[in-house]
Amino acid sequence: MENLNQNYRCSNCGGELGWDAAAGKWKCRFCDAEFDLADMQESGKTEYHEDNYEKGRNAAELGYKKSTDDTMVDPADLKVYKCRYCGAEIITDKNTAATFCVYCNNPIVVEEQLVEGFRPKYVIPFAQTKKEVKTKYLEFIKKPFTPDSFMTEEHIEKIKGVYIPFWLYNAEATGHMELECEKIQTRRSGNTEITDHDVYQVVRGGKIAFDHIPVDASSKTDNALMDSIEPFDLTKLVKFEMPYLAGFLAERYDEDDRTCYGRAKTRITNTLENKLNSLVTGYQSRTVRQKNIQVDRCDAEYALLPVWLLYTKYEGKDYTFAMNGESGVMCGDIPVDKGKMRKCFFKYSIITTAISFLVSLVIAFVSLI
Amino acid sequence: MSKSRFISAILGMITASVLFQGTGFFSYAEESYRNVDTVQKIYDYADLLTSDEEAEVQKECERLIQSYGYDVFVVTIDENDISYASEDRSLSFLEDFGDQNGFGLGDEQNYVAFLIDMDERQYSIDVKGETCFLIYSDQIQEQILDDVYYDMKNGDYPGAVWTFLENVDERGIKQVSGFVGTAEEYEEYERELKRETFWGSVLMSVFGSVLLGCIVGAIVTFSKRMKSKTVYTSKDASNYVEEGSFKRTENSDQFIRRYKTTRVIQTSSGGGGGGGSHHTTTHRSSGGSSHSGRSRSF
Repeated sequence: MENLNQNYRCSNCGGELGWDAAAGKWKCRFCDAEFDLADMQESGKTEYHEDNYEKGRNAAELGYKKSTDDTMVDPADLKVYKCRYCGAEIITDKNTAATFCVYCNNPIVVEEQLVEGFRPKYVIPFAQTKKEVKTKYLEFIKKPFTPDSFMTEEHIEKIKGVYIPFWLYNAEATGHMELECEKIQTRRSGNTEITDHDVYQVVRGGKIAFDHIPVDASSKTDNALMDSIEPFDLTKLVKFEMPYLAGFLAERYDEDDRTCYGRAKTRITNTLENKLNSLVTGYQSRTVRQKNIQVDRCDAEYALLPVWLLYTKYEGKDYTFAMNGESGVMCGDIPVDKGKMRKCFFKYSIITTAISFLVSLVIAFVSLI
Repeated sequence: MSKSRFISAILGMITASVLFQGTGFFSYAEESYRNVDTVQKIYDYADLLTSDEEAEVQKECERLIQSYGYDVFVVTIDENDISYASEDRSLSFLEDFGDQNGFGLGDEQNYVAFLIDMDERQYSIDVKGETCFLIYSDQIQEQILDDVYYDMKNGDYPGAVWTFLENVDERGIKQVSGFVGTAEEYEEYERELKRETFWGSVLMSVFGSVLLGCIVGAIVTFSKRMKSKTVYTSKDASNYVEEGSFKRTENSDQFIRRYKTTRVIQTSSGGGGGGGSHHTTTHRSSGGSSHSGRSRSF
């Protein structure tokens, strides 16, 4: 395991291979030759499996120090790789599993990051091309108060395809709910309104199974952001192979399945509770007297899921846009140009004031006549 | 005449007297004061006016009735024959005269009446009906009596009747938003009211429009702002439920008890009426109907 950092090269011309989302195959950037997974795995047939990188070393051990006293980045959390093509040193986060050489743009898959407990079981390959992503981003970002700088080509170019680590939870849960519900009928007798309340004790119970609830396992990505690009089509899950990472950035998890279980459990219990609640019908009021929902079985599988990400800053605040690399669902809180917002407020205020004033003036004149 | 016949005659007279008194308000002059023709508006029993004056008063009353929509009549008497105890015998006579003979217009039987009572040396004003109560407040009634007093003191009874009628004409504007005054005053009041309403409306519309504009502007801006927010934490996992995996294990609905709640429905009734200084004191006449009025000696 001395040299595990790889890229993949075309057996025809030696050019770099990358995943082509439109074709669903690996494609040479230079001669357009296409390769499927079987081709990639036959190392004798193609020269795709070339060790191009020295094993990463801890930056602290190499003598790297903090760049500034107040920086949060500790050299002990960084790894240093050396590109065999251009010889440049690349410093990455200790969890980075795939990256690019910033000097020669050589795509690097750091296989040593994905061994033993860190090797994913599944991956969903990217299905959205960068061109499609750019188009969708422009549609998405076109909101009334979006700052103009977010529409520029230069800005859009910063969008990167990243494989984000997820835990996929398979679970079974059972639930029991007791409610006090009322059927209400109102009648009238003279000046008195009489309401009859028929009170029932309602019991509902059930069990349910979940298949692959995704919970993002990287502390660097915003959980809500990852939730918002759901759902992932899990029928597209395939067995993980290293070549899928070629041409993309990738992270390995830094939050284990126990850490992430809490979020999965909340979603499981909420879903079963909603389901049981939906079975209580025909009552005008309900009060939950007792509720017991428990997760009987829950196991997690590790997967990398495709996400297009754009990290950006606006007025000193960080903004991240994410797009589901499989379905194309996009989300992200778009920053607001306060100038545009003020303009909008004044525009609608003035128009409404003018119309309202004219109408009331006409009414006042008519009443005077 | 035997003793027993004499006693019978005396008892008969007493009985007849009691019965006679109990049947009506007007005793021996009943025929004169009851069942009068209400088309006539001047009843000069005291003969204080000439026939020409009566005709003119009749004409003026008819004009006032036509103009203001409520009844107006004048009565003079030289014998007040009401048979029951009353603090204000003149007013009681006038109220009974109006009630017994069915004066008044409309459902409320609105009227204003004037009496010169030479027997009691009093003159009275009697008001009946909600509309007339609104117009002829206590204060107005006092003012009319003040105005008439000079003529009464000087024995100018036709003049007193005319002063009363002039007052009715001055005060007798129809009930409009509690306004009381002459027709001319009312027209001016209405014009002024319209002018005030207009400028008030303009002022209100300026403030209202600015406020509305700000609210609409804020709502539109806020709704557009919300379009920029698309990140929300997932609360459930319904997209990942295994198809057909949900099994119901318990399902029961058991009736426990029944109870009732009641609420009294508040009915809003019109109510209201003139408030503030425009107050009219009313009382029940001997006939049971509601009147307002007062008398003054001369």
